[in-house]
Amino acid sequence: MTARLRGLCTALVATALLAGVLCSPAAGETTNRSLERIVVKGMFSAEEGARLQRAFATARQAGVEERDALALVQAGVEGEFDAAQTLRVLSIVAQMALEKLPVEGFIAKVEEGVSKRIPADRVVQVAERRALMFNKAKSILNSLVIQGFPVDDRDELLPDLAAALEAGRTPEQARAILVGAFQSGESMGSTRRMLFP
Amino acid sequence: MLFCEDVELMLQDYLSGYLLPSQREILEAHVRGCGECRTLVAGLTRLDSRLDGLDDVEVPAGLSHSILAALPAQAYGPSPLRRALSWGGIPALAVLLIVAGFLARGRLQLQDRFAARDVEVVFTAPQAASVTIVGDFNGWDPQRTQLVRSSHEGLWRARLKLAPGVYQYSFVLDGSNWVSDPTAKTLLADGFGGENSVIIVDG
Repeated sequence: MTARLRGLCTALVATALLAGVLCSPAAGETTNRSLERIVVKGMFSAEEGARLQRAFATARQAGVEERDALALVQAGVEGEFDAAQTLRVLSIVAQMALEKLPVEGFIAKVEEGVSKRIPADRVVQVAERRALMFNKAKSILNSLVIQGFPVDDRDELLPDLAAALEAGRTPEQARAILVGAFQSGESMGSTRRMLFP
Repeated sequence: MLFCEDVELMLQDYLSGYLLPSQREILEAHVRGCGECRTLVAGLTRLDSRLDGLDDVEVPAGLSHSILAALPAQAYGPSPLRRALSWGGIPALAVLLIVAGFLARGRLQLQDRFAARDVEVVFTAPQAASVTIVGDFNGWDPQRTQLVRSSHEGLWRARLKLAPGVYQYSFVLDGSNWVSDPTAKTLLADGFGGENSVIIVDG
């Protein structure tokens, strides 16, 4: 697909999705209609489109904000994701929402890969790794809570800890840094700085 | 060449040591070649060091009384509100104000902790026709945040509003050339074979 055609498709899909969400009070129905338009535009087969609608609805039910799910689909369209790749990222984001993990970092990684024109399969792979880091970060923070450390800012700390793990900090190093920071009453800012190599 | 007005804008940050090394170099290069700016910098540096050298002074006891005594009575007399309040009402009002103050302070501190900060981004690219910044904060969209050229030496700037947190970012020159920030303290592998710069915004 040429860059021009890709741009046109992106614009059409984004417009269709956003218009669908914004123009009607029945947001769920309109989103489905908007997704149907992707199928109409020939981006996916009817069967793939139906699966995409179900995945979208599942993500929403899992707690993913509509704008986040749309951002992900839109990034997938721009990045020429096939149906399986789009379904994969929707399924990951739904799983993250179910586990009460923040999804913004995952979506940002997909957007980053697409913006850098990385092949779709690699984008999905790297974004999936980021989701795993969020899981690891959550486990570390949970274990600290169980040990009695005052992890009051768990939601705030989670993405930063995940990024630090992604950057090469081992879970053991990260845990030791956090324990030290909690024990010495470090501020959130200095804790963040200590986490990054 | 940096303009004198750019130097004036950057001077306070320069004297306070807040400039990035690249900005400091550019400013110092201008100052070396500009008599007016050299005089300005020398004067402010002298003033700064003199102020630093001053001892703390104890406010003399009774100073406020002396000042008030020197003023005409109507300039500081009791306000109508104060006159309206009985002596019994003042302590109650004071307690209310203190409680409200604590509540407001707690709320403000909480808001302040999560409030977006102004972050100035500077990049030097004398040959570039356009510079944008992309990152976790703008969906990595190269169209969204343009830097503005602020000098003939190729200094580009943008002001971002970022909530406290850690952000990965990169610069895009002329729409396609992705470049890390040479002044970033931390660079991370992006997982795609390149690297991102990292900025930590304190809360």
